[in-house]
Amino acid sequence: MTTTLQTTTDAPPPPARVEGAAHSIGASKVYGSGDTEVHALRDVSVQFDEGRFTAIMGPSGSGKSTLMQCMAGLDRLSAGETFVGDVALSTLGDKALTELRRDRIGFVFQAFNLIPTLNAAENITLPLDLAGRKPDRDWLEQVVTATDLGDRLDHRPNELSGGQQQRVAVARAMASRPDIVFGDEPTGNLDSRTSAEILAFMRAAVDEFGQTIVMVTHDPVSASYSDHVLFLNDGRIVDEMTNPTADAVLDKIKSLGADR
Amino acid sequence: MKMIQLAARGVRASLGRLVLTTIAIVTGVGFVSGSFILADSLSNTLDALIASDTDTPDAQISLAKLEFGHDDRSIPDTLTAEVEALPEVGEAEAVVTYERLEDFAIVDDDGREIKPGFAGFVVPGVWNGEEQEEGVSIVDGAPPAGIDQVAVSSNYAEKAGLAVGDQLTMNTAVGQRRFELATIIEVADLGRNFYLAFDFPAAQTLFDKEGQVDVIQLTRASGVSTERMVAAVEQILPEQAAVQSFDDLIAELSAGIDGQLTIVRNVLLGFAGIALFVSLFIIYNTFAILVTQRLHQIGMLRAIGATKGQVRVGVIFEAMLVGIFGSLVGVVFGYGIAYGLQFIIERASGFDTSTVIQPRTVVVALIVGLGATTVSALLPSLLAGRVSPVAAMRSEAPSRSSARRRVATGSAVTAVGVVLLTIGLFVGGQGTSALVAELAIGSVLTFVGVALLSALFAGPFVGFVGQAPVLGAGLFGLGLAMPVLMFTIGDGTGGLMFGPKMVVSIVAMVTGASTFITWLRGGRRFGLGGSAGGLAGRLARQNAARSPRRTAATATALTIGIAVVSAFGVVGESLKATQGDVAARAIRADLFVGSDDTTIDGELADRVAALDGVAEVSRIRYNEIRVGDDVEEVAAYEADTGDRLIDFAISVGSVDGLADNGVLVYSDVADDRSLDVGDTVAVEFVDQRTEQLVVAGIFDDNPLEKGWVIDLSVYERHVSGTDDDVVAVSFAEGTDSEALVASVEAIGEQFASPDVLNAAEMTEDVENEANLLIWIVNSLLGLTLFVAFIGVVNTIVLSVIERTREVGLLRAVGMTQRQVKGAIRWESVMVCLFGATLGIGLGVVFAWAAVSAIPDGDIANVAIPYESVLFTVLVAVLAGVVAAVIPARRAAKLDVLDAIATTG
Ligand SMILES: Nc1ncnc2c1ncn2[C@@H]1O[C@H](COP(=O)(O)OP(=O)(O)O)[C@@H](O)[C@H]1O
Ligand SMILES: [Mg+2]
Repeated sequence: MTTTLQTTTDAPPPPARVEGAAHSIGASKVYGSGDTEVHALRDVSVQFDEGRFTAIMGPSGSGKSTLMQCMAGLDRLSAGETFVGDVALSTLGDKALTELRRDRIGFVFQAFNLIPTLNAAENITLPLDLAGRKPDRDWLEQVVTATDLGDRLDHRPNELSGGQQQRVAVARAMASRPDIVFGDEPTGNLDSRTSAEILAFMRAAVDEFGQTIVMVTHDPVSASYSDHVLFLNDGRIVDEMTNPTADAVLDKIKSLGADR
Repeated sequence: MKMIQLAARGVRASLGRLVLTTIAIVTGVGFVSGSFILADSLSNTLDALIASDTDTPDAQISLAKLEFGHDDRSIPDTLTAEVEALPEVGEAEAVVTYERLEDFAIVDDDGREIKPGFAGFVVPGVWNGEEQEEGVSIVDGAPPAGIDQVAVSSNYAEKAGLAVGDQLTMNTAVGQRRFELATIIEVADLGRNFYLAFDFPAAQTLFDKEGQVDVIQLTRASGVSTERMVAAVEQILPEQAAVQSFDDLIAELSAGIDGQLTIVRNVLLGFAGIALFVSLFIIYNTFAILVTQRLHQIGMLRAIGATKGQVRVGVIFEAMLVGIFGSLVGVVFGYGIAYGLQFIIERASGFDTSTVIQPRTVVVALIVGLGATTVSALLPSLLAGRVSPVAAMRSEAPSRSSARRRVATGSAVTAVGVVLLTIGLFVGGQGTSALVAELAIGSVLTFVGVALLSALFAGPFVGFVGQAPVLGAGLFGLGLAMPVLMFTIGDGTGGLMFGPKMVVSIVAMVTGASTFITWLRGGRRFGLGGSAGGLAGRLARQNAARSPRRTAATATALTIGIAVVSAFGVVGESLKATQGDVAARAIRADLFVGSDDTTIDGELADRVAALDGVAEVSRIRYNEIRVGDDVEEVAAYEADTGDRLIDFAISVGSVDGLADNGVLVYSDVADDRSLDVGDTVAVEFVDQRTEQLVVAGIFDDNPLEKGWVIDLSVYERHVSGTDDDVVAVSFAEGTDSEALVASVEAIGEQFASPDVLNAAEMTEDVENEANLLIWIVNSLLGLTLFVAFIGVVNTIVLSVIERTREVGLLRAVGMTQRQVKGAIRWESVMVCLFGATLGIGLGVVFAWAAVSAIPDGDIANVAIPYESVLFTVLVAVLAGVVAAVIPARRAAKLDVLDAIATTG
């Protein structure tokens, strides 16, 4: 069991020992108030173990992005707590949180991942430059080779294809050897062939470098690259699946849809 | 119609983004309308003042105007009785006045002026009797009578605690005297000024106008027309006097006032024009940015059927709405400025003033404001027209003109501008309006051309200077250079700017050092506090390179202001250097006695010459002569002493022939007229007589003379009076010069206290005048610099808005708020530095051209005021930091997720 999940409304039992790259306890997120109140997350407790590739699935509006953003220190919870390693994110001020994102977390968004004025190489080393850290040359080389960007490093984003741009984004996310990489539908804008390339690379990063990756997707094929799938609905984790195949995920989604 | 509505919506949607642009328009238009309003109001006030005097005479006798030059002639007071005796004249009243108010002062036993409270001027006058003078009444005592009695206005008497019967010591035009306070009078409309009055004969004596009158006011006898009276008076007038009906006089006076006010107004309008010109670049920037921000919307409009023309018109309409609003607010702002200035004038002068807005002012303001916005939105509207319908789908800027075309246009525009400037500066014999037009259009074209060209090197400049080690070391070096300059080349006072100069110097050194050290350490602080691996510089450089036009346009706004400031600074410095040079070389006299606003009684020279230790004295008198058709300056020296006091720098001939109906001619003048030593010139004097003088020598640059020099004996044949303009004094060897100077000053005090200056002080005098001029010009340019500063803030704010998503992404991947602020500050400083560098470069070139055009006699070679230039650069850096404060804070406070979610 690499991922524990808690769907009860009881108070969650305190974890005996902090395990995993990141975890949350009773995470809740409410947007708006009164009539316009939206419960994006309802008491979610989840743990992402090291060296694992986790996919988060669920219908649109189920809270996938919200969960990811709160886990990644981009947004704050209304109640509960999220941890990266053993650091409770709610205890951090903006500066510490920013530095945590910079040093320990990698990101890949669905679109607009790159600074248009910086070339590919500069985009990749951006978090390191921001930290004033010398990049680990060997590691960078491995990442660049693996993402097959060698001959594109001095190109600006607008000179790269969508797939290449996302590969730069993934390389950027991994450049600082973060504890955990989050992707919010990283292949959502790509055709199936290109997205297969990216997903294969992410898979390889987990297998070969022991990278921890959490990815939001609503494509069963994408989910099949992961070790583990979490299913979200209406702000709650409603199911999970280990070693998923595309067909199994599709069936699960159908059955979850039928439940409703 | 639909496009208008859309434009209005556009304005509403971008209100926040247009605020700073509107401020720029308001400032420019405000200055324009303020200039008009102030001039109109002052003219109105003065006209009203003249017209309000009800107890006016019908005509007035005063000194006849000379065609040129001046003369010491006066109207004898006996004339009053003579004209009064004419049957056509009812009453004739003699008037004497005194203009150098500062000569009169009530002093204490130590000779210090007693000036209680917030005192204005002491106004000396004549006691005309209370029943004659409106607004004057006796509070205490009897009217003053005799040379030792004075009437004092009650406002002074009260404050100084004086009572009738008190003894006073007073400075007068003829030295210090004792008086008895005979009368305390109440005088209306004095403001903060004080009034003194003497009886008529006493006033004549104390004003140094014994036996003279300035003006005789005439009232006609009953049944006689003014014309007849004037005609009759003319018959008996001596040659030097003239009579004029009062209506004519007032018309002449008004015309003179209006003429002077028009000059003042036009000078103000000139500076307003510069400010407006600068705001063009800001408006251009804003609309160019708005267009790129709305690519999707414009593409969509094009996709659903809007024509290119409609899209363009939409942008123009939007600009016009902003222009109209800005202009109207500008008029209100201008009214405010004018009202404020008037308030100050009112307090200072004691006159009631009113503020006048003529319809013309509003019309001009609207035309100017609307014109400025429309013109500057023209290019952005063309850009909008080029947006393709597919832009709705893609986020791609429309293709701009190629770099090659920009170079071609930029060079062509610059060339035309330079040619115009050259013609204006170097081609002689043109009318003033042609000259002004050439210089104005020439500089505008030069600036526009340079703005186009500068887009090319904005990127490389920022790329190089924007590197942490370069900027860090550079700032530190510049900061350090300031005190070094101040205490080596400069006099250590910083030209009265010691404080500000030290502050910017210290700030620059600290910032520079910290930037450099953090860079050395590979530190993670950002922006001006150090750069993470040069990232801030890289981002700034690439942002500048991404929209070089915007960077260039923003910088150009600054460039213009700074170019004009530096040009004036360089010309001023060159003037000072030239004058100082010549003075040091050529002044042989130990002292010069003279005054800016009055002549000196001839007796002073005699008394000084009689002092023990004085070797030589030369009287110098200035006037005008007519040679051919031209009126020229002439100086008269005592030939036997003149060249021993000043080195005339005679290149051909000598002073020897001067006494013998000779004349010395300045080399430039001699060249123009092809005069050689031995030639004869016909010279007409103020008395309209012409004399043939022989050229005795031709002289080059010297500290005092630039035109014609003649012997005093020749001068005295044509000009009456014994007053001197300057008295040059040299001491005998081995005299106690300090004691002598004191003796000369003591004599001076009995003759209207002229300045007593040595050679060094003479140079200083010139320098002070140059400094004052530079200071005035800089103050007037302050507005332009303010507008340019607003422009920098505007551009930075808009580009932060434009880059919201980028900022969001940077924050997401780990840029701290502090680093965001640093990066934006860095960019702002880069823009300002670029603008300042360009501006100083252009300013020096302009100044160089101007100095070449000015005759060498006035300014010979270019001198650069290094301290001020350095100060300008450092202030620009500081301005960059300040300009970034608001945008940086906004950017740092952006919500990361919202920012990333922003579209477009
Ligand atoms: N900034 C926000 N303000 C208000 N409601 C939001 C905001 N962001 C997300 N929501 C709401 O929260 C719920 C979860 O959103 P999200 O996590 O983006 O879902 P998913 O990524 O699964 O599509 C949705 O109902 C959404 O409308
Ligand atoms: Mg989502």
